[in-house]
Amino acid sequence: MTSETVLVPINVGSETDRAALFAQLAERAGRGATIVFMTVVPEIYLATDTDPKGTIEAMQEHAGVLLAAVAEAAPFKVDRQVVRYGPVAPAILDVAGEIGATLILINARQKGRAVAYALGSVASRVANHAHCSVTVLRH
Amino acid sequence: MTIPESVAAAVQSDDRSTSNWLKFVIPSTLGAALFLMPVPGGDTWTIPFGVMVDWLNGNFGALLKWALVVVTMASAVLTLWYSYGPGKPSTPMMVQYFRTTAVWTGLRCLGAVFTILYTTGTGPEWIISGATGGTVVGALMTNLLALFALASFGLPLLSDYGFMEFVGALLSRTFHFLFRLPGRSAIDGLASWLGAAALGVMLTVQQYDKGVYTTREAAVVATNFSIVSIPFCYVIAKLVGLSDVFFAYYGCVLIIGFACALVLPRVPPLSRLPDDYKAGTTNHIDTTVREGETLVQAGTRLGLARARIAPNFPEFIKNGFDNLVFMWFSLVPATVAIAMIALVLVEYTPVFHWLSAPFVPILNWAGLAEAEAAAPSLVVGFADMYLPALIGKSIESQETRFLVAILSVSQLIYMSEVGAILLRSNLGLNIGQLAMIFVIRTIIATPIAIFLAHYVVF
Repeated sequence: MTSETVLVPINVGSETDRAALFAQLAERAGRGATIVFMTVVPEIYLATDTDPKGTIEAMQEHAGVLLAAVAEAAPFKVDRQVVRYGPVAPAILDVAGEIGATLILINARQKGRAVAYALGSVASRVANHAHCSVTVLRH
Repeated sequence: MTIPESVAAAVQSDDRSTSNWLKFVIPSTLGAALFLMPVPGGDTWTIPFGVMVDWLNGNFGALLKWALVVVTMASAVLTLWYSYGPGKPSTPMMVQYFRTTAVWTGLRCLGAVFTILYTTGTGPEWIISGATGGTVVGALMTNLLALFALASFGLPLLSDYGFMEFVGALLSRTFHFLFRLPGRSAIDGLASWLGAAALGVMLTVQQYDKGVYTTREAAVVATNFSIVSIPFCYVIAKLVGLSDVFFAYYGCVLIIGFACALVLPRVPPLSRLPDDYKAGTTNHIDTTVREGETLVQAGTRLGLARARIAPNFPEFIKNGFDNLVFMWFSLVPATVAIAMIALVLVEYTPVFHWLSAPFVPILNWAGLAEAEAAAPSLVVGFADMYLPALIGKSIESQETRFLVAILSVSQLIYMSEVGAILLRSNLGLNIGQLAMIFVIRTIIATPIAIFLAHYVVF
């Protein structure tokens, strides 16, 4: 029996092939690990919105629906699903701290070289700043 | 605040107590009076909301100017402190307000710098000139500060206490007949017109998630009825000096919106979207009007249901205040920066003139005065809703300014807000399709606006 808690940030807006990710997670879940899926709604410029809090809530609800669909497709039990709003990497690090994650398992996103150079990547920021182990899956 | 899931649950219980009726009728009447009732304003007619914005600007203009300095400075300092300094935001609200990415942090800091340099008159000419800082900091932002302060408490009266559901139900059959959309779309459309465009899009997306709309229907609703709310239309009209013809202006916006909604669903890209429900959804029944119900009965039922779960007075004040703080500290500084950068590009570089050069002959052919000055408005609206009006503010011809103000609102797909939300919403629309919808809306709106300006309004 293990007390491993795995945090899995999911980009619900992408059609990424998650087979490799799910295979790793299924193996860990089989060993008794707690699996937590999370997604982050990146900030958006709500310039004409007089109810930004309501809009953010609605965006989080929509992201929650998409995350639930990903969790449902997973061949293992997802113990918890979390949705946050804001800058992505700090939000992942926050949740990892809150749930006491022992591992963050994250897909590397396919970005253009120029974009990756200018903005960095979520995975590299998480790997640099997390207080637990981080596995970055390249597919 | 909009809580559609709770509404769905509340619809099942029919609370017709006196207190619930009062909760439905009083705020809704106040909201309708504030934003929709014509009142005399100077030589013409306006809305009470416009009178209040003008009164705030007229009597507290200097205070608003310095309030903008304080807001932008505080936002920049706190964002730097909590995003990149040693500060740890202690509440989720502080996280939401002040922890952000490098791009937004940069924009907030730039917004503060521009505001301070303009207000103190110590900046270079390209910042403090009337065409740049004078337009953005001196005119747009002080109006927006007042708008946010009043709208964050005023608009929920229209959107949260049943008015939107009541009117939406009354319009549901019209929407079904004219646009071949489920009746529910009238309520989602009104959420934008009476509330906020971004929220309107998200409500539509949520209905798609629940299986009320097909992909095509959701995209049609989101790209045709997600127009900015009435207060913003008023600020745009005021910015270009047309607040004295606000009702004519808003009437034209409605006519153009109606024309676009008739044409767009019947042509690509919207006509080519699949008419399929989201995979896994089973509830495809629109229950806005139940069998055997009249439209008034349905509207009353939905309005009362909404009122039942609407915030009580302390919650109403708290929600309004939370939204106000969010708008002032998160959005205002970035808006200053984005608008200033755009206007500096317009005034001091030929970029927008290159972009708009192909449209000058067309506008000249249409007989529009100052066609060269107006042409950039045809394209910049794709980036942000404020830009056409900001660029067109200094145009002398009233008719041309009218066109610019109409385009600002009627083009609807601007990537800084609505477009970005649509791209994220998994409705199957990509940026090329959004650009196509923007172009079609512009093609429909421009001749109608020119005709109405020339023959009806002036």
